[in-house]
Amino acid sequence: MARKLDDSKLSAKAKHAGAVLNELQKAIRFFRLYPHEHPFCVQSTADSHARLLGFGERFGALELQIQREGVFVDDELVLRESEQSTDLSQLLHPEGVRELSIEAGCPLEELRDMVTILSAHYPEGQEEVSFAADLLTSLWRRDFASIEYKIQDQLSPTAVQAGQDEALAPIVQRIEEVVGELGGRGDGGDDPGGGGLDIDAFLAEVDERALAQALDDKATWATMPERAEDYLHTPQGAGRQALLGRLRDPLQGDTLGRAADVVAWGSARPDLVAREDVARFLAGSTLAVLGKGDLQAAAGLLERLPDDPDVRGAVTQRVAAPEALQLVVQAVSVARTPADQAAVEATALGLFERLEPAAAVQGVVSIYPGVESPRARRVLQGVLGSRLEAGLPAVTSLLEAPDERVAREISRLLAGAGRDSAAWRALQSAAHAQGSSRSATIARDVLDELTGEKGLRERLAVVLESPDRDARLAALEQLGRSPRPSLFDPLARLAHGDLSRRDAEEVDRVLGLLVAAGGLRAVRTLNDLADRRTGLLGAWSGPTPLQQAARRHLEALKQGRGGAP
Amino acid sequence: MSGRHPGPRGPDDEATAGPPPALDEALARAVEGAEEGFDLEEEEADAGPYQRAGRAERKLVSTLTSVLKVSRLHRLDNVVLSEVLAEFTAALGQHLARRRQVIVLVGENRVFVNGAAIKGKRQGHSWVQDFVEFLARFGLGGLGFRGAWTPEQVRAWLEATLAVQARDPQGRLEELCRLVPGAIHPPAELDLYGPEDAARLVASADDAHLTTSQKAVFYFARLLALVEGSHVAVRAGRSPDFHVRHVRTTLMKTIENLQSSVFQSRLLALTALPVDPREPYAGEGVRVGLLAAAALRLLGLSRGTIADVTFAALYHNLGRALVPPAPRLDGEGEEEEVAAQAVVAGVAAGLRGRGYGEAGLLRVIVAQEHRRAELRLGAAGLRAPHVHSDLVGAVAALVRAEQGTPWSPPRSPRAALAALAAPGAPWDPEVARLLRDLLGALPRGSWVRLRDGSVACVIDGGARRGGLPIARRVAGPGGAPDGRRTVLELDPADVAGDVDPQAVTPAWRRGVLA
Repeated sequence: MARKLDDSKLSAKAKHAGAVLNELQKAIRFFRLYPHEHPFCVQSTADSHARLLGFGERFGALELQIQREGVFVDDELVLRESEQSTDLSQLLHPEGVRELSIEAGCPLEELRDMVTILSAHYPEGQEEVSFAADLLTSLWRRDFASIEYKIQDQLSPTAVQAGQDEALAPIVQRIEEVVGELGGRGDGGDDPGGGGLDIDAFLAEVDERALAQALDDKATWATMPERAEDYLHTPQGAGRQALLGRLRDPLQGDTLGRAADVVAWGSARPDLVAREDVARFLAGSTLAVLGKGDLQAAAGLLERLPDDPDVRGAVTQRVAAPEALQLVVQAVSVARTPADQAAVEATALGLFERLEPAAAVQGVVSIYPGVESPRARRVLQGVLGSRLEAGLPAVTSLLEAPDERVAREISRLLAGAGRDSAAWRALQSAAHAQGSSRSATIARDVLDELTGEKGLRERLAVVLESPDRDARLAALEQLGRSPRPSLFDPLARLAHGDLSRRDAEEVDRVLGLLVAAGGLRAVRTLNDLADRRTGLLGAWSGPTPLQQAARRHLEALKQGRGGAP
Repeated sequence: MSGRHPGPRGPDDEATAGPPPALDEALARAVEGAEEGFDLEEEEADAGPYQRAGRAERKLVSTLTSVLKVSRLHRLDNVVLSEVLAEFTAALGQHLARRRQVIVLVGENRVFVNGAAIKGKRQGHSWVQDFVEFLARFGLGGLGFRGAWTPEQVRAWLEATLAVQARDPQGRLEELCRLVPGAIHPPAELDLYGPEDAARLVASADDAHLTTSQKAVFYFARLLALVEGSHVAVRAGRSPDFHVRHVRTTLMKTIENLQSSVFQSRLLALTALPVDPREPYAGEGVRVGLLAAAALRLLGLSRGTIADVTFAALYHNLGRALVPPAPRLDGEGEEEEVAAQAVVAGVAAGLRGRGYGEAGLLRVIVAQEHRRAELRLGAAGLRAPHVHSDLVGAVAALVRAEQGTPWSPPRSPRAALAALAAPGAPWDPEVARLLRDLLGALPRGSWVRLRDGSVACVIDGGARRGGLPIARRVAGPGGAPDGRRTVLELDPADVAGDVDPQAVTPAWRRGVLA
């Protein structure tokens, strides 16, 4: 359990820094939960930026030291690690970032981009770090102007010079060997005698001279990265422009599809290409695009899996794993416009179509209770609903979920399969389970909802117990529209009990409903009511309204006009 | 030895002494030593200068400080000193058991142990300040311990410090430098760092203390070691990405440094050197990667894209780790079936890797496509090669031509470059033009005979300077070595012709070096 930071002993600078960082972490959390245009995200980045500007005015750049236990400013711990995945220290420390500095005037756009990068999902676990699909590379790619970071580099010249741990020793030795051979220590290496000329200074000087001359000489722009953009717009640059045009061609630039082609091509050589490598690569690539929220690309990749059942099984197993499905949920949750939402939901359902049904159900069941987004839950319900046969026991297990909402949604899902389905029977079985567990109550509730029994019981309760005559008459009216046999017993009890205290109209309606619900079963009750003696000491005092009504209904029943005297 | 001053390690250090270890064997140990995943518990490992010191480092410096303090208060055979000496040598021994040396530096009011910082208390006096003051008194910025130390060796060093008579720090330092070598004997070794050296080392988060040429050599060496490791790993049936975290950092820093035209020039010069025959295909991969990175900058692509393609280029020929080239029976080129096998093996190795982002995808794509223009490789159902594959393919062809193959001797860089754009060449002319814009018509590593009969090695093709190369004269008109190794801006009109690459001596080849 993380300890709360006591900031009473912190310096003013540290307190202010802590406030900025808390706001920043809040923004990261919101970015993970909501579309990035959501007011929470917009507000939290604006608040972070405002606090950062406030800090900058008083203290200048925000310079942070990132340690495992938290974030430090001038050796004061300002933000303790709280074991949450959105902690700055949790995000940056494993990536080797040890210092992070944000300039006082950092623009909002840069701060927002940083939050976007920090909040993104990098699906490969730390044990599977890969080039270009990780947080550090993403930070580096963005090439911030106001945000700098320094990373722990175990192969820096200083570290190499100092020596390294055993695992890196051979690499370090080889670096030193090559550096020595090539004269990289400034000693001429194996070939001493540099001629006394500082070659670096000489090159810098001639280059500077050339650069000054080349500023307006378009012919040389082709050779200068500094003028690469300008060169493209010159007549001489047309060929290079065409080269770049090829890169922008969707068919050319579709590296994912192209790689899938190559994988399919390589899979035809099982003697040289291991199936497990194919599976791992395809699964890793799918997770990488899912991490970017690109469901379409992931679905496309899954669609093109090789026919090999082992490869398919291995890939879908990984994509159906809970951590991968969380990425799908995230992508569905942050879809922006309603049109996007519909498309994303459809794509997500399509993606699940590519997975092994049982694995998909198992994965969905494992994440379902934790999914907050109603849209995402709807998609997951769609997945479960269409694969009930593949994993009914797993789905049914969700009836026991601690969250009542989950149990209720799953009950409805099972009931929605129809009365002839195994899912319906499973729900009935849960509803009639021994004891009065919450899941049984919910299951019964849902079944009642669907069969109409619930509404019927509610209205019957009104008829039997409500002190409001109008409400009772209205309930009788509604019950009379589709009288159920189950109404008979409670109405008969009412007739033998309190019914005599009600007025003639209500008595008439209750007995009419009794006949409609019970049919010939009602004859005996009506006979009892009609013959009942109610005078003092059994003395005859004339028929009561209840007796009169009972006789009328009895007569009507005998004449085949049940319920309508 | 010791008492070197000023500074960092020199040519007599043990890393350069003796024959190099068998490359494959050494790197295989690295591959074996590396887990499939990465050890995230790096905190305790030696690290860059952004690491906070741990308990072990603090213990080392605090006991060293105690030794220094007690030695000023008591005789050197005093029991109190013996106790702290034992404690210090034990701590030092533990450090030296894991690393070749322990460098204790002072800078920015902190003490750094192999780059890990110990900061003194904010208030009051502390042993950190005692240590800082001790070093300041002797004009020292740091100490480097190597070898094996016993209490007697430490005592001998203390004796030397006590014998210093000079009154000012500079004088004390000079005296200490004279006394220490006679006092300390192998296997104990002590380096004394002046304040400037220490400050430079402390400030050198990474490479600030290197000259641009040294930096180029360092990053070239670093990439080479890592890619060689990948080739060894592939041969061992492992993932080529066993050190991908370091590849990533190396690429980032290399690409950042390419913004310096001098760095680029020095780095590209290194790509003209002959590959190490012990791991030639890794050497080719590094050369192709670096040339591709520099060429991509001319296209104005983002550094992220450059990194992705460079990654793919570095590993474009991983299949060669398993399937070396074979000449055709008629000696006219390569056996295509073998080349095709190498391509499939390269794809397989890429799939075994861990690159799942754009870089990983490109690696697989480039591995399959980079030779399609040259060879009739089976590619049914595949799209035409990607632009990046064309670029890598052309650069690889250039490097192979420069280095030579089992069926063709090395060609001069000028001839190799010209061949890319020759009529009937399979390469996109725009790609060939791009490489010419990068390297110049007379590329680095070219050997030319000048009109006066002297011989020069081109260091930089001068593309950025209107095609005026920079060259180093290695032999005078009479053929005698040019002892001054004169560097000159070459006027193409002064070039009489190419020197036959077969006639270039190994020593000449190194003319591109600083």
